[in-house]
Amino acid sequence: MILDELSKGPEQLKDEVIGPGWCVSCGACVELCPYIKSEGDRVAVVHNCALTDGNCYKVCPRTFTDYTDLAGDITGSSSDAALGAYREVLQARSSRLEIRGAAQYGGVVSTLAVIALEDGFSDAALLTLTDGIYPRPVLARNRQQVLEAAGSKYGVCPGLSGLNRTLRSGIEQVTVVGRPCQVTALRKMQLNSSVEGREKVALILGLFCFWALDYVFFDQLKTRYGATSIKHADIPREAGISLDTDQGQITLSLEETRRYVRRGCHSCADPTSELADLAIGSTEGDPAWCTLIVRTEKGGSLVNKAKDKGFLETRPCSRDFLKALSNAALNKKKRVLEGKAESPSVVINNSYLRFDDETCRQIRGEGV
Amino acid sequence: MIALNRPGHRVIMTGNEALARGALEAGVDFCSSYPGSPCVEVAESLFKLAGENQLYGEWSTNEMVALEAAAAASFAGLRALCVMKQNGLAVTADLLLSLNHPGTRGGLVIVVGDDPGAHSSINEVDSRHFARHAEVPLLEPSTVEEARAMCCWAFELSEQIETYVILRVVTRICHARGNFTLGELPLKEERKVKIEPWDRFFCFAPMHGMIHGRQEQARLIFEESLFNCYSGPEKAETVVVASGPALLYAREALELLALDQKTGLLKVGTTWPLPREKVLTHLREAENIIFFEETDPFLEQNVTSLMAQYGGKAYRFFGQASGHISGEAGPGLGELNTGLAARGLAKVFNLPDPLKLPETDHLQGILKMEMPEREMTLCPGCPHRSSFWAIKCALELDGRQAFVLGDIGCYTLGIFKTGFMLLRSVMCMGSGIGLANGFGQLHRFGMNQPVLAVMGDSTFFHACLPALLNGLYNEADFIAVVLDNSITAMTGFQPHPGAGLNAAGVAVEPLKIENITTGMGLKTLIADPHDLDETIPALYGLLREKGLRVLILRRECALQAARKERKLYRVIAEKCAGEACGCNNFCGRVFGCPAITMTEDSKALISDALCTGCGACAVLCPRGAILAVDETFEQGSEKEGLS
Repeated sequence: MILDELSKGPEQLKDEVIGPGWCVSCGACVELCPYIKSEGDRVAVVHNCALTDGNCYKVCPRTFTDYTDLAGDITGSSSDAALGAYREVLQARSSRLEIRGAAQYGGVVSTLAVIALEDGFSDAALLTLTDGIYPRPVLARNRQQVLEAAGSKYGVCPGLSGLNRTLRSGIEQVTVVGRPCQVTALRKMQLNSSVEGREKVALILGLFCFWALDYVFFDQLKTRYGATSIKHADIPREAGISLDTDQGQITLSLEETRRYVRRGCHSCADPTSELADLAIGSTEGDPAWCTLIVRTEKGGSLVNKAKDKGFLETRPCSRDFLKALSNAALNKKKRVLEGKAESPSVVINNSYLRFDDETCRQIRGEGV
Repeated sequence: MIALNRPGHRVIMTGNEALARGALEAGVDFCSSYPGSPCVEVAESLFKLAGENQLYGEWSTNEMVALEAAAAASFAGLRALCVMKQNGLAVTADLLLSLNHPGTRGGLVIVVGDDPGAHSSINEVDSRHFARHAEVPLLEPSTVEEARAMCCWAFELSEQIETYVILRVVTRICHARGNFTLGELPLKEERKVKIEPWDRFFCFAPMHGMIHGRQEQARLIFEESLFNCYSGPEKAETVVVASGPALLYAREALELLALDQKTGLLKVGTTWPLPREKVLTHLREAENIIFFEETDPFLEQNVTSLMAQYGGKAYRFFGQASGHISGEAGPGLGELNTGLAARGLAKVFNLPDPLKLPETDHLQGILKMEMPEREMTLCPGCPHRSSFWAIKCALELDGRQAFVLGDIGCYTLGIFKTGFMLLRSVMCMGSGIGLANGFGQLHRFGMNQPVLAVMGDSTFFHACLPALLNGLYNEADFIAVVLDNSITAMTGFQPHPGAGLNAAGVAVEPLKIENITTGMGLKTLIADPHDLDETIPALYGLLREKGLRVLILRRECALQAARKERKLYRVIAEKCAGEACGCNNFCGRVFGCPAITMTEDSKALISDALCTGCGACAVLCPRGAILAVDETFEQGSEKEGLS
């Protein structure tokens, strides 16, 4: 359904989102038309198309977004205040050593992407690969290409810019792996817009994400350390970020890393991709396993397929771990709702975000 | 045509061709020029004959070099012609003021084309001041016939007084066609030139006195010249003084207002130094003196000061100073014509305004209603359009409000909508990169806006090298974007050092701009502007760097390319998104190719007549709805074909 609140155009997108610095470079508005482009981590309306009601505004995850409403349309169930709607939370890892070796932690995202391609869920997967040191979107068509794009990037890559051209091409079905903001944009595209080819998005695999880095972070790897390629990156327990580069291991403290976090991330209240079919993240304390949240029936069937083929193994999630994850998520949401950490507009029903009253009460810890 | 060997034959030619004919009749040996409107064709028509007639012709990289080369030929005893537009004469200023010292040997004539009203220039300039500044003779033809005669005579005059002569023409002489009689073409023997051991060509301050001497010598010759003549009653109370084609406007206006019988008309053709005695003879007894000329009150001021000094009584002067003789926007602004001349005379004689007819307002009302505003636009397929779009996108992505400094060429149109109004400055040749040298140092004063300077390939060779060197030496921070369409397009597709042809049409090794810039140690990228997927990221990457860097956007001029081979492109209407979100008529309305219009249901439509087949729209179309015609043939549609 196309909402009235979203009947605006690129000038409002500039005034309300890009101009004030809330853009998170998801890339959903890029390549819908010749007027919005991206380069590196930058997204810009290069020319006002003069339309006052456009798809760009509708798909943006920082324009009016009713999470409860969207989740209801997708999962059919009510939301958990911390982790959103889900069917089950598991721990998972790839059974295939060659995938685990190339990928991040348990290699679950890469495994699921491979199954999606090889078992008829889609004929292409939109992923992110590292080009030297910068993340950039890539459309993978086979296992080899999925593995080349394996591993977490932690950068604000406008990945969905690669999607929009694809939707207008001969590709029939696409699986997309994205950050929560990108997942939200995709759902808005499917449900709130008239973007050509939106029915081709077959499956959405969301990542856990509490922040992502501006490309100036990668620039300074070049200028300070002389790094020209990144092989692997991860977020160790006691530090901000650690990268395995051609100049050796580079580790930055939380303090140093924080300076490069995209400003728009501070207004994000969705660290676990609540609108995805499946959400995947790390398991703190156990780098061999990922945390896997199954949210939709479609997502569940992909997981089962992967298990049946012997590519994936799962086990239940410990209650302690679940509690820790929930608290982390709740804290992020609380910061947004209470106006800490510089969010644009935080009072419920008066912001770009809407959750239902019950959810808000739970986030604020006002009792069940 | 200009070399037609039929003396006495009556022909019709343009003023530019007449000037070239005059030079041929004087046996010109050497012609150098830099192309500039309105007088490009003078040199162009001579260059077609280079090789025959023992004539050497060259397109020089700029007017300074052109005049220096012509001066050398003159020093060697040859007859040399140097042709340039108004701005070009200004470029040679330092040389004008030094070359007048040693003087010349073989006749040296400078033809300068002024552009009153600036039809094809960025300013309207009256070059005559340079003659007075350098104290050298100045000739102004009033007709096409006179242009030929004066140009021929100017070489002889130059040799008589041993200095160069400035022959000043305007657009209405250069581009007009007029009748005249062909003169004799001299038989030229092979000349052997020699520079003697005692020959010296110095500019030496004590020679200033000699300059005065030559000027006086010229004046004496001018007193007898038939290029100055008087017509009308012997002792007229009112005399009109005019030079150039303004003479013709004045004469016609006098007839229109039936004033010609009682008003004297003094035609001045040798405008500087003034033929003092001749002028006094015809003006001394008059009461009222009216001046017609273009553009500045040059003749007016010199004659009024002459009359003040020698006239012997008080006169009433009417012209620009009094406000009577005026262009549309004011005295000395814009072009004169017969109507404005008549209006001016009517003011002087207290007659009703002859331009205010009862029908005029009504007609002007109709014109305003029916005539849409037509903007200046780049040609269909012009690579500059893509270059400007790429620059616009890269600058918006960069987000620091970078700005673009412009220069002279077809791409000057970047100040208009056709170039997305990107250019922030346009002045003389080379001033874009010149200004960038200044702006590129202001980071130390808190400026963080990146600076780009665009320049054409011909402009690069003409004026930009010293500025580029300065930027390198003084470590300025800017991007030099060279828009290389491999030709000097704006003035009519003349070749330059990078084009691979010389003035005689002979193929030469083209000079590659990147060889110069990389030889200087400058980071240089090259991209095809029509390949936006290559160009936008390249420029965006350069924007994030510092220091002096060069981006060459190389693609042949669309009109040149279309002359060799022309694909046609078609819009597949069913695929065209038209006004819908995702397009909103981007190709025709925003990108702005003039070959693309709209059908009644807002679909794009490409004109076969205008399309030059660059293919840019096909790449840009967000729906892939534009294809080259042979491609659509392959799709098996019988309907496709040239209609």
